[in-house]
Amino acid sequence: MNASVTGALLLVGRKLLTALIQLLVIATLIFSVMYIMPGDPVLLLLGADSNPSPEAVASMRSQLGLDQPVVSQYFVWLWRALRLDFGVSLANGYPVSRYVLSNLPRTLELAFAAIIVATLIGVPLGIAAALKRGSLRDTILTSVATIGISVPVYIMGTMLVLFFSLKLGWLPASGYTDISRNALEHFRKLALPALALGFGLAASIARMTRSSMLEILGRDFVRALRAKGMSERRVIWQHVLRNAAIPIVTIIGLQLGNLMGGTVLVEAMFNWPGLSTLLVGAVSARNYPLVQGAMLAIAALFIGINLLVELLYSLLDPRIRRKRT
Amino acid sequence: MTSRTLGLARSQPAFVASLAVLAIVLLMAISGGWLAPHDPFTLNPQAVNQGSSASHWLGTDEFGRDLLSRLLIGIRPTLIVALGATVISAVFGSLLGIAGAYGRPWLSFLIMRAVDIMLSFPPILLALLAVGFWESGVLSLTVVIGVLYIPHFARVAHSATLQVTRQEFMEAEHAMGASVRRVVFTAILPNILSPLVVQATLTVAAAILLESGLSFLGLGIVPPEPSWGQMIGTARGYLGQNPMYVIWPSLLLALTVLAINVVGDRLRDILDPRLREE
Amino acid sequence: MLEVRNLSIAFKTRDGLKSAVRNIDFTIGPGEILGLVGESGSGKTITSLAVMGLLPPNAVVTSGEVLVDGTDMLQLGSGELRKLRGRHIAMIFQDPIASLDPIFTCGDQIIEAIRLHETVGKAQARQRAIELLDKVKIPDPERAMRAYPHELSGGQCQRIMIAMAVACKPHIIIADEPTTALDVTVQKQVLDLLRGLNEEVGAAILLITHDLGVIYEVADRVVVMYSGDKIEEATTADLFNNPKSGYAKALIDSMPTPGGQHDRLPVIERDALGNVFSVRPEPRVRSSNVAAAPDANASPLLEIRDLVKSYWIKPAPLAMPVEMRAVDRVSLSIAPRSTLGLVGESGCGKSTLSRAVMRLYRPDAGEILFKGQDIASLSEGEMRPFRREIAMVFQNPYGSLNPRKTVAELVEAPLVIFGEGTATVRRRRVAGLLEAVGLPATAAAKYPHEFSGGQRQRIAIARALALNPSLVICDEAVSALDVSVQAQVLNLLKDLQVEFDLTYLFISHDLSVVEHVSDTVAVMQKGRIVEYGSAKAIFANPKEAYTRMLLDAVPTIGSDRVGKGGA
Repeated sequence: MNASVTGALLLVGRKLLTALIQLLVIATLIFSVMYIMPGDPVLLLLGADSNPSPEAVASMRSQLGLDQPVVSQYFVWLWRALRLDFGVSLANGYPVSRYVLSNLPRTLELAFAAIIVATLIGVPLGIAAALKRGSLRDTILTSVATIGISVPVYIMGTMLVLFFSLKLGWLPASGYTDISRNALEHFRKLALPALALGFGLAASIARMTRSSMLEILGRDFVRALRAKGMSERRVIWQHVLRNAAIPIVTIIGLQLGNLMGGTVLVEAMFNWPGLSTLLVGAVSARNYPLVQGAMLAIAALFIGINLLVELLYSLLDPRIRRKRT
Repeated sequence: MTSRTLGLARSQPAFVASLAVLAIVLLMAISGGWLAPHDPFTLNPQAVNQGSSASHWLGTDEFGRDLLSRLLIGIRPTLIVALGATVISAVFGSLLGIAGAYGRPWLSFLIMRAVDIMLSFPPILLALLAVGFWESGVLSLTVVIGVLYIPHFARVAHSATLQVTRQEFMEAEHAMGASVRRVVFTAILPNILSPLVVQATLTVAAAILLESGLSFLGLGIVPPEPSWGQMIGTARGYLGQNPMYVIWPSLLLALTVLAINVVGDRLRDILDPRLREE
Repeated sequence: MLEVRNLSIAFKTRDGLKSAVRNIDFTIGPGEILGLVGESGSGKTITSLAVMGLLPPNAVVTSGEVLVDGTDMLQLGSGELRKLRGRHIAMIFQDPIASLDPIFTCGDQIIEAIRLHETVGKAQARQRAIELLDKVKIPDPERAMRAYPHELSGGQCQRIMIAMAVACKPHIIIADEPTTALDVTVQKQVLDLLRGLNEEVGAAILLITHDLGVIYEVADRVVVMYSGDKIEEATTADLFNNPKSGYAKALIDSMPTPGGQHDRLPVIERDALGNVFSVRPEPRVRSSNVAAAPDANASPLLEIRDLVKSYWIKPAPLAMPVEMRAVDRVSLSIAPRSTLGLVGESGCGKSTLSRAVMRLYRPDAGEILFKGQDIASLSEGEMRPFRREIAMVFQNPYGSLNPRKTVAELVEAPLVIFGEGTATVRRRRVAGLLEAVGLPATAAAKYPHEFSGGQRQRIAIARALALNPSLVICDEAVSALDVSVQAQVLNLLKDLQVEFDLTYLFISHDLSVVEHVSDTVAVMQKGRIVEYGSAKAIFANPKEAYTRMLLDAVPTIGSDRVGKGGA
């Protein structure tokens, strides 16, 4: 018992450490990418059109610490980033962290809603297809899933807008309302982006659920359970599904990359003021500190969710939870 | 021959239809400009956002340009980017993946950790960063997307190679004193080809989606040169006036990706040794 | 009790139904142990699945009935069938670890099995489960209850499966190759357990196996199957003393048996009419005129001195790694043109030893003298000339041949690696080698998957001989093969030894096979050689307790059948 508790703690610790190292490497990458990118942030900050004097440029440069050696810039930047200080936006001098902190929960909410939508649709459909392998139902469901993974999110989103907003007028086409101001409106505006984002994910979850169900159904122990006289329903619900849950959770985790990528497009098309919107705007305006802050926040979000998935995964699978002693 | 084709069409209608779709798409990419009924770049302020008519079969865009003509030439940059990126990622990704599975421990540690870190970041964000700061165009898109999908290939090649290296014939090769080059090119590569081919089709589809996504955001193919993703992005502003403007490129793009995915699924079934044995 | 009448099963294929089992009849009386024996593809497993009503979806019963206490299992609906399964008929499978659900503890699974058929409380079921584990002689039942299947050994998992099978006191237990995946000493324990339960619980057992030794020791009556047909049914004593069918006789003959001193094993052949009989082929005539016999006084071809190879493993996640000596100060020597048999149970280090000699690993300490030169710490480049001299034949005839190459490419690979000969010369050499291992010349252009297991092993042997090596290491080279095919390959190895002046290091877990082929024998246990000497001496008069235990555990035809009532 004691050994398994320390084992579990050790596992959590190791995963945490890996995540932190990953984050550090990504932070370094983000910093260096900014550094090799063309364009002078100082000129941008002062406004290149206003033709600033060399003295003004120099004083701004030292104010931003850009006259320091790269390595010390890097460590200063890293140290500040650790305290969530990403500097100020070049556009208006507001602290970047304020933007990041206000937009991060919105992206999280969107992604979370999409995962829920996708899981609620994808898992049952995948199970339904696997249980009747080769039937008409299976053929239809797998075809729909193949279509689902082929339609890009922005086309899905556009079609949803065409249908639900323009044709039926049921839901708003885009925008964001704060939940404290009008909760109903908030969720009405969340519906379409979450659906658009969740649809493709639902399709891949359905495909993966189906194939892992089929894989487990073919294992020896399923035959052994039937030989014990267990009802088919119990075999499926008690044993097959719980075994299949492990790869399904993995695929949901692996799909997070696509999901975060999808938020870029979905946020842009639905004017959802999340991290991606922030990032796309900052990239177009070459607002370096804002880009760095947003990138780092997205990476941290992604790594954090991945960590959660991995911990959930090892919770589900005793073979990982308890290494053979 | 014909009877076999017919038989295939009957047993695998989706597969055959997808192959036909891909053939048509390829034809468009090669000779789209020649097929176009109008000059895809001629502006016509008198006929903006029109529906379909005798002269403009699919209608016109916001500058009065012929939609059909623009659609016909709009696949070429997308396809060049997707295929070019796939070649880049396949070559470098496979080599890295094999090295990661078969190389010395420190090398494989380095490669696979780098791959993990690259994979832990959505490709579109990195692409966004790259094309946001550098000049956007077919070449830079190809290179950027190609580089971004290297880790995906490396991961597939890595796990496939690991499976191969666990087989006894690898030990047999070593026991015979085979050189590293011989092992890689005659023992590993032929045996991991199937998953790599499947991954290549997936990568073509993903690269098309990524390029069109960037173009949709206005960060990909630069106007006035059209691409389907970019057309969808522009058309979104005219949903009310001309809904067909957005529907045509959406349909074509989705159909193309669907066809690639169907072919990829089928390839996976054909190439999977477990299914082939029986 | 259980009566199978006129049972025929076919598989649905694209070309229509393909018959798998034809007109099988047999009955099992209460308390009886019926052996169902046959080689792979004989249809014995599919028959047992039909009895349980567990046929895969692509199999159909084309005729016959399966009567359990008078009710035809094949006519029952799924609900009624379910009530019989587990309660009336229970089943034990070949791969015990895979047959348990990996994500539940063993205890939960036994409790579940009990509560499926009996309305008892959880605590009571738990108590019963512990009693059952006690009955199947699991050490520390409480711990086994909490363990997940992957935390137990194969033998322990099989005991759990047996505990589950007897949980509801079934009338019939079907055991499908219950000991095939287990070591010989564990096999003995499991067989003893099954026999004991058979007497105690009174359940009839249908024992399905390919191993005649197991049948001999355990079964009361035997049904012999061959490619879907029942060939013979007899009491065990009758079958072994006086087999009526040619096939059963051939099958019994082709098994190498301890004490049976024959130079060559009989093999099974079929004539044009499909009749099966056994022949003892004559040794192949040696082409060269020098009569070479193993010479014990000559300087050894291979000598191993104090060889050590360790692995470092962590006993617990937080603990310091400890040294696990897979090969622990092993010393051996093999005289030219002789065969050293290395025998031991799984995990004893015999494979590690062979791979160290092959220099697939670098040993941690000790010497490997090949023709007097130490190759233990040579670099890969320095090792190269020795790779011509030492060849290896692997266990798995399916895995050791690159599936993407033709047989010609596979066999000529060593020649190509050493840049030997032109394409024409190599082609001629390949043809000669294929002939030597008894494969048709047309085989050269084919791919490995077009061949059976035995034929693939011939290909692997041809490849090993390509560069005229002096030492051939056979690592479980015949373990994956059916008995009759195994006999052919063993005969071939003997022929080739004479023809090519070969020295063999022959590694196997199968004592009968080792006795048959070896001049000297080394018994390995936990990384050490516990006994080493001439084959005759060791098998006739084993000195070490471990060797005796191994020998006792081998189910042997002709030995005393201990603990067997006169049923």
